[in-house]
Amino acid sequence: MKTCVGPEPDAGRHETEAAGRATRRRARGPSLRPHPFGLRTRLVLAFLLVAAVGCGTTAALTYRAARNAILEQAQDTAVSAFREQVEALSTDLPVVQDSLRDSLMRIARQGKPHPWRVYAEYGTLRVSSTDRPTSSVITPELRARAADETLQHGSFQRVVKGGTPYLTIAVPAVFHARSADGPPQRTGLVFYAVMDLRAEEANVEAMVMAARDGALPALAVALIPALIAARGVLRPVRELRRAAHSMGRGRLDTRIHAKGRDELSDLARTFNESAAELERSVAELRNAEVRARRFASDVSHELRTPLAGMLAVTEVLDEDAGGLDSDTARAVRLISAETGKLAVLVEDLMEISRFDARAAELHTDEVDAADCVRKTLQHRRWTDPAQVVPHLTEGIRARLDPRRFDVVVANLVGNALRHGGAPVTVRLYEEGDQLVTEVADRGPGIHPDVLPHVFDRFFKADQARTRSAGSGLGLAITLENVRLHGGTVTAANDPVGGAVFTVRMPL
Amino acid sequence: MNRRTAAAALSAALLGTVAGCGIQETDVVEAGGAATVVVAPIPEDRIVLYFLGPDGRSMPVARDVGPPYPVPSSPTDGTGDDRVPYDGFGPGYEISVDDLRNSDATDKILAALLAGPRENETAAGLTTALPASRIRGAGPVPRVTEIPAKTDSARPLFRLRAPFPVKELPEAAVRQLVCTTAYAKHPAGRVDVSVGGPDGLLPTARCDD
Repeated sequence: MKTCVGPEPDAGRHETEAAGRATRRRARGPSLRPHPFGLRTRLVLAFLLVAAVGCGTTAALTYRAARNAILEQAQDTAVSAFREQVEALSTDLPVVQDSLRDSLMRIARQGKPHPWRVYAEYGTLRVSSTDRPTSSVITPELRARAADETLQHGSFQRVVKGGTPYLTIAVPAVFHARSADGPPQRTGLVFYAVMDLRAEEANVEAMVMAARDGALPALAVALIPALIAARGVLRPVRELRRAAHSMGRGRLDTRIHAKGRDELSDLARTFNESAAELERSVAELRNAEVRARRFASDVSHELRTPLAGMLAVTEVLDEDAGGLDSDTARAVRLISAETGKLAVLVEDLMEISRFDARAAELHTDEVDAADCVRKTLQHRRWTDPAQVVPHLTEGIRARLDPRRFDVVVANLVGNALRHGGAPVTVRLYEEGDQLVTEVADRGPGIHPDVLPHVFDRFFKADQARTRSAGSGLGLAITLENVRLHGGTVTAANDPVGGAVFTVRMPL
Repeated sequence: MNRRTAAAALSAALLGTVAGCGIQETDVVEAGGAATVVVAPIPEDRIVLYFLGPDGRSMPVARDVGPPYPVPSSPTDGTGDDRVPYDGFGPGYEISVDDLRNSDATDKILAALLAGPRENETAAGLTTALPASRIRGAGPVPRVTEIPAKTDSARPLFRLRAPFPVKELPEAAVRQLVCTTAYAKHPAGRVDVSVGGPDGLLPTARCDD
């Protein structure tokens, strides 16, 4: 175990801390969670929708046109063929059933485009080419139309019965009563033909199949441009996101490869310009800060040499002060005291400069914490129990930099003695895996408005008191030292009275 | 595009496709004219009488008045009497082909109309709306006379004097008289007929309008 004193030169804490910060940030880095309704899904859906609507509409329209054409052709052929067959008939009036049946049989054999069944109705007579005198497929509407004497027209109707589509045709027979001169006269004889359209239905179904078989591959093909388009949009977006994240982590030199002339590449270019501007501004700020710090450091360095000479001279003057007259002696002692304070201030400034330059180094060692505190108090001659009351838990082994810990304890106790009130209680104990050092005084405490600023540099709790015994950097240096150990220091007011400073450092 | 609108459009398109599948029923669609059939016997050998069908509509019958066939069917054959050259209105009302070709047989034709449908015609559901006047012997029969046209009418006008009251006759019965007269007088039936009876005169009518 090393003893708990002796300041040692610092170096190289900076790197480890920087690395630690980087690791921490990477841990909460970009979480690439999948988007259920992300751009890709939406683009693909939109493409598929457009393709489906396009295919569907085209298929539907084509199908309708083709179906109508098929049906029209079948109907027209059937109607004109049937009329032609009927017109070749010769009949008596009133009709003679047997000869009419023979004629119907002949017509039935010549159905076009498909075989048909033929029926004839005359008065109450029903004649057919089948074994049933009439067909149930023929609707009353068709009969009424055929019987209408003012409308001497052939007519047809499509009927679906039992799932089978039928074409029913009605052709009324007319004749010229005595000469072909006059208008044809209604004979009262009406011919019906019933033809099933199963062949046409099969054709129509084949077209539906063809439309479906054409539309599905078209949809599958539409998927390819959809995915390509989604990729084209998503790649720059992903790149932007990565770049933005990288910028956030402090890599200000991040740039995006911007190519093309679309909006996304414009966005990328804008991002690059902004990033460059930001980088420039940050670099300027950093340079200014570095210059400022270097200036403070240089000033304190430059002051140290003359101050060393002055300290030597003031010591001599102090010794000789007794031989001088009282006014001169007081002046000499004042100069001596102020020179001492100036030396302390310069030392503190240099210490702070080292922290700012991240040149402060931690030289840790395993030490006995209570021993360290005791030695600090002894060195500062704070051994009067009326002034400082130590409550130290013995035997705590901690890894810390003894010199810096000494500075922390000394600064806190000195601060308490100067600004608070005696007695100052120093407690040292273990809490979990932390070493807690508590310095409490019996003074008036710290005003709540001031509490957040007590660790600021050159902060004066009492604005009226422009001069104080300390340099104004004590608590700032304490804070930096505790931070260097990876610990925290907090200031609070004890409800009983007085201020309490608590330092927590990992063991 | 609003997602809801898109979905509605898509479903409408699909619905349209599905609903239009297969072969649908249609209403009755007119297609071309009626079929002109050949009615036997040839026009020179027949008279055309207008009776009524079961639905009350006028239905013509064509009766053969031509010379008997060399081998006539047996007179005892129940339905085969349509080749009998005269009808049962009575002696003197037989119609021969010569009557048709050389002279005016309108009165005889009307007498045949009044005699009503024959057996085979009745079997086919034909009826008449005219009063039965099958009176053998010198019964009262309709007489048709031509009235000289007073104006420059394109059609000749004929007056039909019926032996029965005509004011109460149903429309179908009047039409039977008018059409039978018209086609008896003119091959194309282009005449005006004025039907009258003991109780007065009906408005002039035509068969082909």
